[in-house]
Amino acid sequence: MDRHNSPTQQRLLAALAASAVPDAIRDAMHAPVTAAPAAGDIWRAVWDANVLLLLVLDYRPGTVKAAPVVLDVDDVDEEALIVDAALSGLKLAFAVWLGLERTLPERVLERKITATALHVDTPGWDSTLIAEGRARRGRTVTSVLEAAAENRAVVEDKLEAFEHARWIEASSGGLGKMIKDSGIPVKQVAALLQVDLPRALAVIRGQVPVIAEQAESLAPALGLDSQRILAANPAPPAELAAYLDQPQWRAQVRRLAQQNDQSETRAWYDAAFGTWGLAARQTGGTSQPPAWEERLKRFFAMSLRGTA
Amino acid sequence: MRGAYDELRATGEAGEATLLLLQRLVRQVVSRASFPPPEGYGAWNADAVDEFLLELFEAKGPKVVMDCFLGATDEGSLERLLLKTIRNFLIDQAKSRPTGKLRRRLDRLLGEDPRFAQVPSGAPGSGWWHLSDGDAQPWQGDPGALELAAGAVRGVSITQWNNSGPTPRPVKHALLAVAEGVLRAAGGAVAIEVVTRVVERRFALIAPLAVGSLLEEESAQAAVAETDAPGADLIVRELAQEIYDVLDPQERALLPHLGKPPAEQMQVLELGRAQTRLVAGRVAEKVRLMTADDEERDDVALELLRLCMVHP
Repeated sequence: MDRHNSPTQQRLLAALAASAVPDAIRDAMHAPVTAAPAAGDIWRAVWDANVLLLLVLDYRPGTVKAAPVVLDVDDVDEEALIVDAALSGLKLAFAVWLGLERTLPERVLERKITATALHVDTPGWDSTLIAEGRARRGRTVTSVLEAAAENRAVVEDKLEAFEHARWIEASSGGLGKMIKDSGIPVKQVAALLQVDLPRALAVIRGQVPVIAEQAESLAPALGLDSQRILAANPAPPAELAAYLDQPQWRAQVRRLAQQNDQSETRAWYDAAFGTWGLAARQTGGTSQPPAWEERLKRFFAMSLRGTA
Repeated sequence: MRGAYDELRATGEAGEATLLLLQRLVRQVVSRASFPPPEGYGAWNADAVDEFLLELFEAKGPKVVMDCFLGATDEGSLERLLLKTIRNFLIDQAKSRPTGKLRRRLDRLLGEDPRFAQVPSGAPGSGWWHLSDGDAQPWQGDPGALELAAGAVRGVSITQWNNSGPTPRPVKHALLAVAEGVLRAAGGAVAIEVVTRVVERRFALIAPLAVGSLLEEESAQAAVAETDAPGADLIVRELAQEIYDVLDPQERALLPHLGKPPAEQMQVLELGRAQTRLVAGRVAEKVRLMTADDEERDDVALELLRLCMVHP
């Protein structure tokens, strides 16, 4: 930059330097996710292009009850509670939109940002803070033309996207029937899938899925698109899907998506079916339920470059 | 050199890459809309851009950086967040300037009009304004009620402020009509600062910059000049054009589809349900505020529809 010496530039650079994110928040964005959400935490939720901070009000495995948090405290309506910087854990005041509380699937949570000093599991905690002068309500909005009305609508649409967040739709589960109807002998199926006969039978019985490369091999024989074959896979075990919904796997799913230049939901899908496929290949689809944590770790170690 | 997103994510600071991006985005925004440069600058040169950024970061720096650090997921989303921040701050800056002039102008206009009177010195609320035929007790109510009263005054708008010289007749009429509505709702005397804030807000909600719309890149004036609308009389056309000028591109795009199901409207705007509902609400509110329930209203609506269809 040429104009570093101008007084305005010097003051601007100083203002930029003074605006840095606190170290603890910066570190939180890089730390692995190890703990489950807890009431009073601030988490970042991400789904497609939607990003939102959430104050966790309650957590049950699979779902989180939460209210959205925004840093623009000037333009929020009276259903938002503006919390003092000292309580926020962010060293900045924030507004938590308690009127927009939702129960959301756990899979939208990406990472914990900080813990607040808010006792959200104590009844009337918000009124107590207001009475103590440590929080206040947003302003009354009297017109749809106000910025607060737009901010609220943006947040509401993000919440709606989170409520409908899915990485797998209900599976048709018709793969076994497709293969049976084609009349391809089991031996040929095994050869196409490059598996032994028991495993090929498990595929035909709808007990195990095929993975992407196997779908590619099977596609010409069935006269179908490989994506259609994958969509006809049986649904992965609910236990595996629930496990994969936990935020501890999110960073690896995102890395897989970036590495393979695909959407995050596609990477999620591949991780579920890849893990399931590996597990079934090793157990033949007939033994005790696999230990999903170990299987997932192995899948990501094999799939992510530079981690094996 | 790494990009601004990588820099911010790695360091938590707005460093050199972020500054370069900020400077580029400010230049981009001000080249497309007529925002005034910072005070003391005649044009948006490099120093003016830095001065604007300095004002922004001195006012909201930690919040802006935190918002971007936590809200961005890649370079593109960071740019969108910064653009919104820059636009909003430019609007805030532009809106904050005329208030002092407006207060002095309102003070003078109220003094010249027999409908209004001032509480004499020595009495409670000395210098405050009330209606000549109303109570002079100092008002101590909820400002939200005065805002609602201002919003209930129909058929007046100001889409162009003049910062010097005599107040044009339509602007004078609009200011006094809203001031009268506000004081009637107050039922007492109100400080000029409060009256100014409520009146300014009533008009700034419709046209924040009061110089046409913020977001469009083309002159809307051309829309009417190049086509003729047979049968539409001049008043109707002028009012429809004024409303068209204060609609943003999304509002113009949605207006011809207002009667359609929400799902179709969402497709038109490529927005979610709540934002689509809000845009529809904003169109209705702007039309409501700028028109009165008279026989011309339907003609204005038709002409506005034509403008939005010809130049969405």
